[in-house]
Amino acid sequence: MAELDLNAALPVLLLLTSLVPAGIIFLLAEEQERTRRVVNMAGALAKVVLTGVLIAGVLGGAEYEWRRALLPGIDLVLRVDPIPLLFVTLSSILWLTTTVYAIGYLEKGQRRSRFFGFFSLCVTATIGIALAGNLVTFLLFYELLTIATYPLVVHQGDRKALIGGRAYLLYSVTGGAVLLVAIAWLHALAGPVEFLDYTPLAGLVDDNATSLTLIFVLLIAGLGVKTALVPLHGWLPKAMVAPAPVSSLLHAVAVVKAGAYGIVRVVYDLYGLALAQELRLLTPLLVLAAVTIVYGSLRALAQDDLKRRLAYSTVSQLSYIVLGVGIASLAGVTGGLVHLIHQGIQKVTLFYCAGNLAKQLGVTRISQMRGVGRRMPLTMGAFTVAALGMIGIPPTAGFVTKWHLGLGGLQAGQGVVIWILLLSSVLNAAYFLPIIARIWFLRPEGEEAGAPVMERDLERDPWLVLPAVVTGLSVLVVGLLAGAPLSPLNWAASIAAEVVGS
Amino acid sequence: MAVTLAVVLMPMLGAGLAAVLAPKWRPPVALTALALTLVAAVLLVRAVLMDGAMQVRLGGDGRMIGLLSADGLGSAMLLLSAVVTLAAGVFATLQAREPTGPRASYWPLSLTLLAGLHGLFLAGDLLTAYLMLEVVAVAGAAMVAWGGGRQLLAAATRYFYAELVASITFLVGAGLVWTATDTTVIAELPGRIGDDTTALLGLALMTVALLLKVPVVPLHFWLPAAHALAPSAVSPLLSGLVVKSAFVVLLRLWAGGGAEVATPVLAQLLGALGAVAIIWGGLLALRAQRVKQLVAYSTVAQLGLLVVALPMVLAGAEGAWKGGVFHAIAHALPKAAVLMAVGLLAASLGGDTVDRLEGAAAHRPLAAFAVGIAAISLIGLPPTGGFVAKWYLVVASITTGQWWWAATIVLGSLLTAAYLARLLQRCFAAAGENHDLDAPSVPTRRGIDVVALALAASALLLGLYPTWLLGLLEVGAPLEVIARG
Repeated sequence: MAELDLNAALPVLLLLTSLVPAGIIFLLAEEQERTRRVVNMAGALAKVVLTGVLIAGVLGGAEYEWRRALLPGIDLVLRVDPIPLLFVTLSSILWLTTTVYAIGYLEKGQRRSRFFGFFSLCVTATIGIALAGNLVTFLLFYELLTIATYPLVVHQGDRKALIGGRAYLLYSVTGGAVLLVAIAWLHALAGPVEFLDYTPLAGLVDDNATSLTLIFVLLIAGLGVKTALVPLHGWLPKAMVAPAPVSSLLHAVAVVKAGAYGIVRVVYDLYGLALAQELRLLTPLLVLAAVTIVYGSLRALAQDDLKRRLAYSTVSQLSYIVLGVGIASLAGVTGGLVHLIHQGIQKVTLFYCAGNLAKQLGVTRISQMRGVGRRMPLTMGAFTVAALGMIGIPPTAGFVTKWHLGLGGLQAGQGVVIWILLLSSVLNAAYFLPIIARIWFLRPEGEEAGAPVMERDLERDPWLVLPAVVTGLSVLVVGLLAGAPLSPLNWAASIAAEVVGS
Repeated sequence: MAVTLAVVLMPMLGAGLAAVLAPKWRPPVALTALALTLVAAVLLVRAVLMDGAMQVRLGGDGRMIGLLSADGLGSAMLLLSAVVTLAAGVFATLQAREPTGPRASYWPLSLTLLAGLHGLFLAGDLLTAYLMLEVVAVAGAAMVAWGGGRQLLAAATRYFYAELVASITFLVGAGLVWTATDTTVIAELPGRIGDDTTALLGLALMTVALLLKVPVVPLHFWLPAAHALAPSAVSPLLSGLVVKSAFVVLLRLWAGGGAEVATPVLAQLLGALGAVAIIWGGLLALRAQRVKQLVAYSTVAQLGLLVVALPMVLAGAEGAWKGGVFHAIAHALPKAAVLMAVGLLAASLGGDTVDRLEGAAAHRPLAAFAVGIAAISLIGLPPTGGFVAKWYLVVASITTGQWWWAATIVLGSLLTAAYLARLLQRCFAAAGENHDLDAPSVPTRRGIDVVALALAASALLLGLYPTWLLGLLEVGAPLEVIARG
């Protein structure tokens, strides 16, 4: 009995490890720096430990589920299924590194209590999204994410931040409303539906195929806003005004990833691959992803502002996940799922580095990046690895993704995927390689016989450098060790086998 | 039985005492009466949950002069009004030392209003309903006028005339129905109206009267000025409770006797009025310069949502009934919180325009936080009471095939999000230079912010624990009538 209770309590505990810190931090005074740091780190570490416990438990065959009636017939459900566990692991680890980074990044007088309060709330929402066992629970946390992220986006409080925030809010709230309609419609049609229970929808397919298709379109539209699918991507480059730790979280773990994760869940765990194929829903999704990938890359090319270029790169990279969803073969599903992880660690590294550049050197434009590699070698080393990952150069994480997506395309008889990947990789290279060349091979502007002793100070703060180096290294490690038993790739492959088999 | 009478008599008694006592004694006596009324309301809800709906006939010798009927709808609304009035009373007490604080007349008037509201929520016959509508109208108008000033007096007068016209129209309508059907008991009307022209005319008159009282666009002309100008302790009662009381009567009439004469076209027409209110009110709130005006237009829009529920109720959707009533309740709590909080913010910052609120959060974080929490419920995001209401209404509109109401409701929440974001964005922006934060113009007690925050939090709790209320709304609901629809 005690065992059972614990299994229900763990998913809730996982939420509480960031919800409780959020509550405490809101109540702390601005100058209680040390207490806030301890609370933040304790919460982040506890979450990683709990995630470890969950993984060990799931490997041992345990099931974790917590449910409570919300409305008659509708439960709030938090459940640890295979795909959620993958996402939770990513979120917990990147929350830890981003917390470290944010502690180093934010300075006095930047309303840190409010920042870290909402920051923790944001992660709570992400974990909730990850563990949601049905669409209503998903929606609850999806909206909470919108609310918790808005204060972070406008944290600077200036005019530009407010404009960016307004765009973010407009898109997100509209997306949430569309999602609500879709979920209510599905509820009216099929009653309460939970993830991984395919029978209610399968029973509807004969009489209500059109409704199911329309609901799918609405679901993807609602989720596509956060996923930044073209043409719903307009808010993402504008939300770039947020402080660097927020951008990191936004682009790697929380907001855009929540959208992509939602699409993954809808296709694999709600409709199921078989039903989605039967209703011919996957090809349009594939086309949408392809358009987004190419469009995002093209726009990225034209940006001189580093964070804006990274933002358009996110638009493009994120859709590799959606592309994977659109390819109904073992390798394709694997490639999409593993990119949930790979895109996260690559993008988070890039944003840490961009933040460090802006903070230490005041460099925000690519044209200002001449020779910064020599001044901040560790940071720029991490940046380079992550950028190579984005292009898909072996042996980085990005290569593993692209390899499997391509292979998946061939398996599914969709050779066009190869061309999309090739085109997009060329574009990726076109907007990342010049940066890398500029960093390492050009001399800094007006460089004299610089003062190297001074320069060392640029990377002395471990709170800022360590997260970038660790995540940067991980881009290499998950690529090199992709064949290892517990690698993200093998994990994704085992989930993919279930998805394709079901 | 006893509690059914107590919820009406207790505030009446309190009002009488408060009226004759010296001003110094009024707040404690009134607060005691409000607290006791709340206890009675809780007991009544408990009794209704356990034993089902009950009726109390007033009068003897076989002559009925009034019928009090405590069902789920009535007792739920009654509990809500007891809570909000008590909160407003506490708010008024804490405000007492300020120049903007309540006058001594606040206490007897608010208790009279509460007695009227409770009577109205329990009214089982048309004449009791009429009587209580009058009590509510007079007490409400007097409270609007209470702040003094020519502008306010003009608004109060307009408000009073609108209420008066509506009341008389209602009375005439009730008389016609009585003549034609030989009964005034609302529950006995089904089956008696039929094709009788006199009865139909009576029903139509009563409906128009109630639409004016709610009010529903285009009969909303009196609301914005009265609600926006009323003092902070009064407008929560007006926007949260008074407007809902007319809706309750409307709902009873139409779910009862009206259901069988309502043609689909008529039902859609009613809904269309609500849709216009949602959009029109939302757009005006988006453009409003003064904060309380913004909130007042928001009320016009949110009331439209109540009326939008009617065509779905008449189409037989049980969820629409629950969703509509849930919205009436879930709207009152956060709206009252917002009105109190913006009143406090405006008083601290020395100005009541939206622009003036810049940086208010740094100044009064609790009040600003209350606005934020309340906004989540008003927009209808989970997990708040507003979401529960919206969920039921959207599902109902899809199950009845009237998908356009789902679209309207969603559009309404987007507009709500837009105008509330406009407000919140100012509050949480970096402090502006247009006011001096070091010198608050009006000293206030900090505890007062907690009242607003508590009301906002209650909307959140309602979303987390909605099942008891949903169950309560089923008690005695005219669901079988609806099912026949």
